Formats: sequence, structure tokens, C-alpha cells
Amino acid sequence: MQTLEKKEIQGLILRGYSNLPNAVYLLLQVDDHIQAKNWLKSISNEVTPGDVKPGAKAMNIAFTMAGMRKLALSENALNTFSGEFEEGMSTKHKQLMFGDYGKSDPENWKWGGPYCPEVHIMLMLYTDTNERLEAFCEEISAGIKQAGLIILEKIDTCRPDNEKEHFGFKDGISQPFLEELSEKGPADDPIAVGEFILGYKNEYGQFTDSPSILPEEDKNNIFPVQPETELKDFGANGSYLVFRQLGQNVKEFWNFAYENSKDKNGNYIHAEAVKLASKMVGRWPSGTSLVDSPEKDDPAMCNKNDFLYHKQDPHGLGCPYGAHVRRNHPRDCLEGIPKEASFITRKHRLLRRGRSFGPTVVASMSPEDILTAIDDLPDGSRGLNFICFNADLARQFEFIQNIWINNPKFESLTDELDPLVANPYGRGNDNQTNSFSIQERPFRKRIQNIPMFVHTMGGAYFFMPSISAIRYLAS
Amino acid sequence: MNVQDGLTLLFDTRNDRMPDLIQELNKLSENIEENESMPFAKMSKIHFARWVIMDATTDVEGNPISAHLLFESDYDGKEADHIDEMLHFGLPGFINVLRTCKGFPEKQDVSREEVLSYIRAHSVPKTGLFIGAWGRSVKQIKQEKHLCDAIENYLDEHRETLITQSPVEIRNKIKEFVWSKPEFAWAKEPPDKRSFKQAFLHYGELFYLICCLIILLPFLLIMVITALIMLRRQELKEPPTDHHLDKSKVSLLQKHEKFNLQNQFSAVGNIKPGTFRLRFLKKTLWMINRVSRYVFNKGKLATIPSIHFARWVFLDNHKRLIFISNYDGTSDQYLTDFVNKQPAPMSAIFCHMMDFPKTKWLVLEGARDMKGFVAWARKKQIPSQVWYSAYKDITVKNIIANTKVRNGLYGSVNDKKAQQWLNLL
Repeated sequence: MQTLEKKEIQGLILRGYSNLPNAVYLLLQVDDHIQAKNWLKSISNEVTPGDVKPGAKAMNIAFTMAGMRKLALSENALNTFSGEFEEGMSTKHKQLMFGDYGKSDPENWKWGGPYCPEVHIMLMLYTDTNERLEAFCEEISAGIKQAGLIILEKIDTCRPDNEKEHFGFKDGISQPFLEELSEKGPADDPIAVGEFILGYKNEYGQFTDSPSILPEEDKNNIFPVQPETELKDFGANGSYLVFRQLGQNVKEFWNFAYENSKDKNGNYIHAEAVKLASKMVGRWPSGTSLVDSPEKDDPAMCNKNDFLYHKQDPHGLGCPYGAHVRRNHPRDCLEGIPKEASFITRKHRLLRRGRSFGPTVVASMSPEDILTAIDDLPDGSRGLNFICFNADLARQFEFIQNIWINNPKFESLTDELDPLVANPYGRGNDNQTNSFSIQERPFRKRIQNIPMFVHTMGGAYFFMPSISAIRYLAS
Repeated sequence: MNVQDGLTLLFDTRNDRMPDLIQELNKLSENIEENESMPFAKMSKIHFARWVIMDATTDVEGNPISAHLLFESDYDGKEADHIDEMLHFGLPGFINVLRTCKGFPEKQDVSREEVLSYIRAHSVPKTGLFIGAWGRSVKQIKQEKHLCDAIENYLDEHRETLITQSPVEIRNKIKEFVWSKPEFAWAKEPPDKRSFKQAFLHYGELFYLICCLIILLPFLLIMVITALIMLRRQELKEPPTDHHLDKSKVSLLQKHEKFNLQNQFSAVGNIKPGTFRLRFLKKTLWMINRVSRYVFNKGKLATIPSIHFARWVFLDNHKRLIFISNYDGTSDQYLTDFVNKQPAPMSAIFCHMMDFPKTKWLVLEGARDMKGFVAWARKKQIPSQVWYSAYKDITVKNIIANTKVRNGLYGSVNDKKAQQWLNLL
């Protein structure tokens, strides 16, 4: 076990702030770098570190490549950030990898796209009550404006009941287990902390490449020396933050589930619709895995997360091969070699810290109510602010997005993408719609013409530096 | 049974014609399938092909190595027929491209025979070859894909009536459907097995190898142990290698990856100095050839399921080695697969090349060093200016599964077998 410098690591990396249900993200643009540095200095003491659990409010901050350039970080230092970070999320190459075409095309993004104003900084505010959030946000915004920074976007968040996302499924169940953060003591299968935080050893027993500065640039000697070079580790205790704002078309999702599970007389069958939707997700609405409970939802098992696909469900009869959660975290099931699969899937994990946004279709979030509810809000009014941390964008976030979610050939499948979140339009096929196989006896059921339920509305790669590195950027 | 093989051609480029060459290759690349001068889609025997410009460089001792143009193809049948077909459809293209190389006839009208003899004179013997979907021709791969798609659609359309029947009944219904379609007349017969001569040669060689192995075992053991000790002494002397990943090169290489489903990989580099490394490498590649023929002949190179064709070729008087492969997925995934799945064989092959991460006893460390291996591979990798695949949307796993689906149509089966077969769909 490695000792974490929790004082140096920003709080959001180490905890999800579940006790602070209200949050807002401010996307900022720097105009004058001297003023911006002064502002950064003034707030740097308020940035929440990871060593204490915040009681009433928390604030964390992350920067884009352009933002750090604007704050006059040396070109030499900027060059040491990873190539994926430098390239960003909206180039042609990334479009192909992520399937961001049509409605999800970066050209149509609300922020972060090629025609949008350049995002430099993201400030993330969290509080216990809504009133406190408003006051906090007002106070911070006043300071921002005074320093001549521009607030490009104010992204609201929401925390629906039962930790459900808008489709009505419990979210955030399967997070990588980090021994260093556990209060319960050692567990048998922790993931190396260097997979998520720079400056620590990763799953290969190596230090992931981390941005650095020259020794002479570190006059106050605040950064550790990188183990493999003579350079100072600017990135130590920091992490790459991926932000994709995803719009969810909740009505269309449930309409599709009901329409495709009608009985012979054309009547909707509630239980079948929930089952079809759950097959696409890979979990029941309560969060219970289809591996543990293949036939019906069993909320008693909703927090059970120790199941294995190859061992318990090798033929996908419970949880289909192509189901969203099985694709995103195949556990022990790749190529029919469980030991190798477990070894490999550990190298492709994400620490998720996102929150939903926008009003729920109905407060109950039950499929029947969603089906009958009238929803006159435009598309893009609700969805998920997908946020995650990883140390290696290529091997973690981009790999999962490209090789697992957006791959028509995943495992033994021939031509289907993630039924829930992938964009059917793109990735080498001209299909406007997706298909999805549900393994059954005697033969699979194939659902065709699945529309796009989730689209990308904006996104960017950020770097969330250590507390010292924030001060360095401010100096 | 169909036999697949690989052709490698190596030409010396002319400095003064380099812009022409680049322009010519760009023109081909714009419409690789159906351009006028070298329409690859018309060449029915080609699985994959590429043109690669290899910049001038130096050998281990610092002597200059001139710039090359490399052509490679993976094809069905005999080499002569393959070249014949290429020239039949692509003679103008070959003339345009090869005109920029040294030794090509410098006159307006070059005859087909002159091109042919020029090509023949520049063919390079390959040393190691791996084939993912052994024995299957381009035609068979495409036909079987078409067949499987039709069966899948049949299952969708007749789900209501089929779902209540037993696996054997469903299988027989599918069989009836397939055999009722004239376009699947070819599927009434199972794929070609090895001819008597092929089988005799195949198993004959295996028998011969096993006999040699048994007789020479004690001698071989001594040889292997001696070689390993000699190797270890060299390993200890070698300096540690650089872990630095060249970001701009990776981004350049990725720009050549225009598809996510299938890609190409070429990596070239100097072999470590001295005859010992070269001899060791030659023996290793000889063995890979045998092992891939008799052991890894079911779609997987050990546990790597994504390689269609891979080959190793010595260049420039055995000073350099080039590794060429066609595979499913992206290069990022390909390289991580090597490290995650098969670091030991990767080390055993590539440790004889310069700058490879330090190995210990041939197979330890080396490719297990994730950062070092990826940095090395990217350093040695070169982009392909022109790349052709005959079936961009069919993976090795698909090819293997499609043949299994076809083979399930023959003979009689019980419910258990029929169910296993239905699981493939």
C-alpha cells in the first residue's frame, strides 16, 4: 500500500461528496493572466483538500491545456502533458473514436466544441443545502467577475432520490476499490492508486507519465523529483479529469422499451418493458445485477457488486454480452479466459464523480409514470454530467469509450454498439440505428432499430492539479 | 484447401522522384478500392496490401541505409498467379509507382514483362509468418459473412414460429432455408479440406519435426542452455533503454488510422550488433513459423485473437528487421494487448532489436515494461502511405465464427450440439 498525500490531493478525487448534494460547475475563461493569477491566489486557500471530509461546502478546481497556457505555465511544462490531453476531445480522430457524429458532433456542442469559446478553468462548488449553494456561488462569481474572468457556462447538477440517474437506474455502484481510501482496512482486490492519481505506482508497477517542470522552474522546491527523470513532478497528486455533458432522452428510452416488449395483442406489459430496459443496462433499476437476479428485480441485492460474468453467466443468459455495464467493466469475461480478463480489466478502470443535471421527468422515476408523463422540455434539458478521473487518458477513458462502448465487434458480437450510451451513427457503419442481442435459449433475441438515447452536448479534458500546483499556477 | 502466403517487395527510391512517389501513393490512397491505375478491390486474391515509404537511416555502426519503398500483400494461392492478377488490373499503377525507384527502365513505354522481371528481382524472402484465419480465401471469408448475415436475418424474421421448436428442429429449418437459396449453393458442400498432397506434406513435416526433436533432444537442450547463458551475459552488458514516448509521432501515426475496426502496423529497426543476436532471432522466427502452423492455427496467436496476418522480414543484408501486421482494432489496443496478454513471446522475438526494453533471460521483464514497450514500438513504427483491406468489417473472430456456423449445416446433430451451434448466432 502506498501512502497518499491527502493534504495535497484535491478532495473530489478522494471522495464523491455524497453529503453535499448541491453542486454547480462554472466554466471560466481567462482574459488577463495577471488578474487571473491574483484571483487564483485568493481562492487557493479555499480549495478543498482530501485530508478532511468537508461538512458544509467544498470547492475544487481543474484546468484545460489552454487554461494553463493562459496562466503562463511554461511551454516546456505544457509539452509534458499527455498527447491525448493536448489533442483534446473534439478533433476528427477523437470523433471517430467516440462516435461523436450527428447530434453529438462537436460542431453542435454547447461548450468545448471547435466553434465554442475556449474553456480555461472549471470551478466545482458543492454544498449541503441549496441556499448555501446560491450564496456560495454568488460570492465566488462576484470575485470571478472582479478579476476579469468570464463565466462561459454555469452547469447545474441534481441528485435525484435513491442515487438514480434519469433513466431510473441506480448509478455509481461499481467504483474501483482503493485500499488507501478504505476505512475498513485491506481488501483482497484493490486497484493501484496510481491508476487514478499521478505520482503513485499504477497497475503495471510503474509511474504513469506525469507533467513536469524543470528543476530551475521550481524555485521554492515544492514538487517532488520524478522517479525516472531529473525533472520536478508538477503532476504529482493530480489527475486527468474527463468531463462529458451527456443529454438523456428519457421518454424515448422508455417508449422504446415498452414498444419492443408488447404482447401479441399489442398491449404494453410493464414487467417486460422493465426487463428489456434492464437487459440493455445490465442491471435492474434498483441496481441489482442481472447476473445475481436474472429474472426479476430484487432490491435486497442492490449493493452487491462482487459478481463475476464468466463464472456466473458465461453465456450471457442473465446479463447480455453487449449490455452497458458488462461492456464498460467486463470483469472476468473477455475472450473466455477469466484469469487474463481479470488482469486486463483492472487496467481500464475509472473513478467516476459525475452528477445528473436537469429536472426528472417524474419525481417517482418509475417507468410507468415516465411513460404517461407529459414532458415538454426540449432535448438536452436533462442528462448526466459524466465526470471521471484517470491517470492515463489513452489506456483508461479513451480505451473504454472506443474499444468497449463504441465497438461493434466487442467480444463475440458482430455488429452492435453499447445499446444505452453509444451513438449508432458513426464508427465505420452508416447505420442510423443500433441493434442489441439478448442471449436466450434456444436462440438469441435481436432488438433492432435502437435510436440514440444519449448524446454528447459538450466536453473537455481537464487537469486537476495538486494543492501545491494550484499555488504554483497562481504565482 | 486454399493456401495463403505473403509477398514482400523492396525497392530503392530515387531522391529526385520522391515528390512524385508521394503524390502517386496519395492518389492511390484516396480511392484505394477503385482507382483507375491500381484498383485493389478488383484483385480477388488479395486480403491485405500496403505501400510504405521507409526513410533513409543508418545501421548500428552508423553506415547509411538508403530510403526504400516497400510493398507487401497477403494473398491466396500461388505467388505467380497473385502477381499476374495484380499486373492484370494494376499495371499502370505499378509503372507509375515503380518509375520513382532505382533501376526501373527509364523509357516511356515499359512492357508488362519488364515490370514483372523488375518486381521479381526485388522480392524479399520472408522469415516468419503468422496467419489468423488459416486456409480461408478472400472469397470464402466474404461468402461466409454473407451466409451468417442471412441466417441472422432469418432468425429475426421467423422468431415467432422457431422459438417454440427444439434446437435440432431450428437448425434443420435454417439448413432448409440456406439450401433453398441459389446464392448459397456453394454452402451445400463443406469448405475444402487439405488435399492428399497437402495433408501428406503438413503432417509429414510435423512427424519429421517431432522425430528430429526426440532424437536431438539432449543436444538441443545443451544448445538452448548455452545460448541462454550467452544471451544473459549480453543482456547484463546492455544499457537501460529510454521510456520517452514521442507524442507527436503517436499523433502522426494515429492520423493514418482511419478506421477503428481494422488497422495496419509496420515497425522497422536495426538488429543488435554481432552474429549471436541475428542467429538467435533467425532460429526464433523459424520456430514461430512452425508453431503458428501446428499450434496457433485457430485464429489466435497464443491468446491474442485479433491478428489476420503478421510477418517478419529481414532487410538490408540482415541488418534490419521489419514486422508487418494486419489486425483488428486500433494500434493502442494492439500494443496493450501484447503487454497484457503475451509479454514473454514478444520479448523473445523483439529483444534482439535495438532499444527494446531490457530483458532478463530472454522472456522476463522486456515487454512487461508497459511504458518502455509502447515507447519502443512507437519509435520503430512507420506509417503506411497506402493500405488496403479486402474486408474491413470482418474481424478474425468473425471469420472463425462464421466458418463454424457454416460447418454446423453439415451432418446430423443432437439437441446439445445444435444448441451449442445456435449459441454462435
